[in-house]
Amino acid sequence: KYSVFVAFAPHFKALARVAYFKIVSKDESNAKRMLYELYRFMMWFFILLYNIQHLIRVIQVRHSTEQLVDTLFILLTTLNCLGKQVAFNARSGRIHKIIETIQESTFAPTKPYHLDLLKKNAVSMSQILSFYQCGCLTCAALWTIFPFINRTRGREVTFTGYLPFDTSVTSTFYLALAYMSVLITIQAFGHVTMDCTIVAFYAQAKVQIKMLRYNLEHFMDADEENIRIDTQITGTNYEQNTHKVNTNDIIIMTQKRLTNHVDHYEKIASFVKEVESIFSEAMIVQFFAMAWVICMTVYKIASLSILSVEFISMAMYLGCMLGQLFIYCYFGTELKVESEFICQSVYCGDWLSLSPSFRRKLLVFMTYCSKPLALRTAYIIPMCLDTYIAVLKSSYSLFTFLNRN
Amino acid sequence: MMTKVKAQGLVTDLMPNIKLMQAAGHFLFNYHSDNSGMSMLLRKVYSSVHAVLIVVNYVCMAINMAQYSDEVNELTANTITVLFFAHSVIKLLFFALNSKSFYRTLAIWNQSNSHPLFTESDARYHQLALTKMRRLLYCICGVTVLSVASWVTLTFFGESVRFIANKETNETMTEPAPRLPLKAWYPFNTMSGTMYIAAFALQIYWLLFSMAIANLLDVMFCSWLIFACEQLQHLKAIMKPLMELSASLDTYRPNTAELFRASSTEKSEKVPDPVDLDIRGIYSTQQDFGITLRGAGGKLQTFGQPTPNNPNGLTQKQEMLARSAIKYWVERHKHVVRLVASIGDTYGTALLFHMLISTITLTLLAYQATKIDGVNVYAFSTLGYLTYTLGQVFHFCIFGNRLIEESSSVMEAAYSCQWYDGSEEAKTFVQIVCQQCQKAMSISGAKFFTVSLDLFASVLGAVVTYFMVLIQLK
Repeated sequence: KYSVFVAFAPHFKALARVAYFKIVSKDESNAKRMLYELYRFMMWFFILLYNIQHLIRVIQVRHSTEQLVDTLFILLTTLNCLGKQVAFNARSGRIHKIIETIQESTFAPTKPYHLDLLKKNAVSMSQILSFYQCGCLTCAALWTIFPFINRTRGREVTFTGYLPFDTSVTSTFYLALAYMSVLITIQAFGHVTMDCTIVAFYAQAKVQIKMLRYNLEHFMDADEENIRIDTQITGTNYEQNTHKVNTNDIIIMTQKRLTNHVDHYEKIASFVKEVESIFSEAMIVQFFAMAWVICMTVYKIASLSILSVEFISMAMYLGCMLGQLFIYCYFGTELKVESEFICQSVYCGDWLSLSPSFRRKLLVFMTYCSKPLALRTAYIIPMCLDTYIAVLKSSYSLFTFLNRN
Repeated sequence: MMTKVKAQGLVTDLMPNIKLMQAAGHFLFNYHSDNSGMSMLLRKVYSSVHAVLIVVNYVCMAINMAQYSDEVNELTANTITVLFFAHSVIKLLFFALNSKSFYRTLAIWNQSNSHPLFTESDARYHQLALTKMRRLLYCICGVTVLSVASWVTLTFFGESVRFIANKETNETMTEPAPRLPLKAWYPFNTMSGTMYIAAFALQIYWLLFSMAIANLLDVMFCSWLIFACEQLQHLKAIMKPLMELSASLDTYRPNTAELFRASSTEKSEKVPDPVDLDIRGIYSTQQDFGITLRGAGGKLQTFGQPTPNNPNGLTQKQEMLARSAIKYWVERHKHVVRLVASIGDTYGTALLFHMLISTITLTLLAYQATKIDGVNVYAFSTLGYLTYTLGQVFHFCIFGNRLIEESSSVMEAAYSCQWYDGSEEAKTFVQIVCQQCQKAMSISGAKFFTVSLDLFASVLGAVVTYFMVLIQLK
């Protein structure tokens, strides 16, 4: 029996590994749980320490723009990550509830086409996760290597966090470098995994809508086929319907199907709303952090020459930020576009064979489905590709404007 | 894959376009009357030779751009030219990689349903679509030839020089360059002599074929949209007689046998059912139908001997006719919806690439336009590039916009007929059609943008704004 949760398994496994979020399973020994709680406490402690160190340094260097900008880059990113981490931990009950919703029977596949869709979705989600994880590990590795190279070249290296001891001595330098890079790697990894998890929720909603659309387009299809597939997937015994059908049976069957579809859509819509509300504050933090970082990066890049090492690292950082925004906007658009076609799927089903009174029921459903499931950040900014293009356009205009000056 | 497809439906209508595309070197190997192995091989060789020549010359132009990248003006001009012809290379590659999708879209209209009452209207709008498609094709072909001719003519005016930056004094010098339509690096000396004439001939051929490649694919896309729009016009036109016909259908008796139909094995190519019974055999003249299509509704009623199952006194045949007419309308509309979805899937990504490159080109052109200082070759070439690029964007935006307008005006046609006289079946039919038509059918560029005149307006606005800002900053 195929579980819909398979698409999320790698994400939650990775999250558990860095102690960001763990799905509570009943059959775990007390000792293991205590150990894991200790691990989580230590992780929280170090991450908060890291952020406080950077905050102190920001206050320290507030008069020197260069160093301020350098520190703010890191601080804003880690604050962004912290926002999402707080959402995951403070609302873990609600997240557990939506995981349970995913595993309910309404979302389960009932036809071979559904199985196909779910498997493809699981594959693409794990591919996106691995891609982003590799990307972030590469960036973190480069971030570690740059100070090392600069140090061997004899240039002075200042850390972006406040450290109470002097880092010019070799041993303390390497200690500080190790500490900083390990923490930033963990935070980057956790950040990327959390992003991919949130996106996986939206992608799952989109796949469910695709399944609903397929059901609606085959609304009046023969029942025997469905029965056969049901027995295949669920493995239960099912009394075959007799081939003799009378009008009453048809009415009951179509009514049951309509009820199922209405219920399915209702569950999908509430699922999307719930995910949106769980992460709404984290998205607001992300939006502001991203806007600020993009402005600062563009300001910095405009004054650098092309092909210097700093330019490349700045450009890479900007690329990472834009890549992060891209998956949100892309899957937000996919969800919206897919939900706009539900009404069309009802139309493409065989409603002509139905009585006028049943058509009116379908009409109520069509009217409700004509409102698309559009995601929003902070209630005003839609999470779609138009927003992404607007962000790209504004940063390019800013860059051109600063370059000319 | 190289199956011999009988020319029908969209393929017949678009045959001149298809033939021109095959002549221009697209990798279009279907729709030939002769499918022997030898001629297929010859055609593949022909397309490959064209592809190689086009790509090689394009690379030569790119090498020239890299060579003379020191001076800003020279670099900008060369970048604009390279981006301008990137469309052709991309479209050639896009078609070669996606030809299956194109064949599928062309085959969607191979079998369409028909109804004896509406064949005349169907034929009329089909003919209209055909006329418009041909006219578009001739227009674009004319524009292409004119552009190539004016490009070649412009080559002979002005000085044929290129700008070099003098490294010591940091000022711009001019250096004589071969008088060719395009600046490209060739391994042989093209300043004069036979090599010059050969290079000139090659470039004329290259200009014509690369512009034809890009434009013909756009024409095919727009022809599909014209066809879809004319089908929607046909559906709007038959709505009124349809409502009059079904005005008297009042009872609904479910057709049990029809309610259960095994799902079709193929998902996409659902063949629409023809009319249930051969109505043409039953009715021979208009009078037999018992209606006047232009009169008020309700003419189907025959008073005097009401049949027990039918309170409105319709005979079995009349009821069947009315119901089959509605079925024809709905199946035809669903067919158009499938066609538009297929068009969007096929061409959406190409439109995305087109808009991406056009945006960058127009930005650079706005910068170039600020340097126009008189009526000279520079002004003409810059304005020529600008008009051509904006014209390409306008070309598909206007047809995309027409599709959006047509598909949402079906609702107005449904409202303007006398739906209040209709039967319950007819009224619910109007309701469901209105609900469906609230979402207009549109083509999207891989979900990044919708192809409509709004897109063109935003592009034009951005160019003008950028131009104004740069003028002020100068």
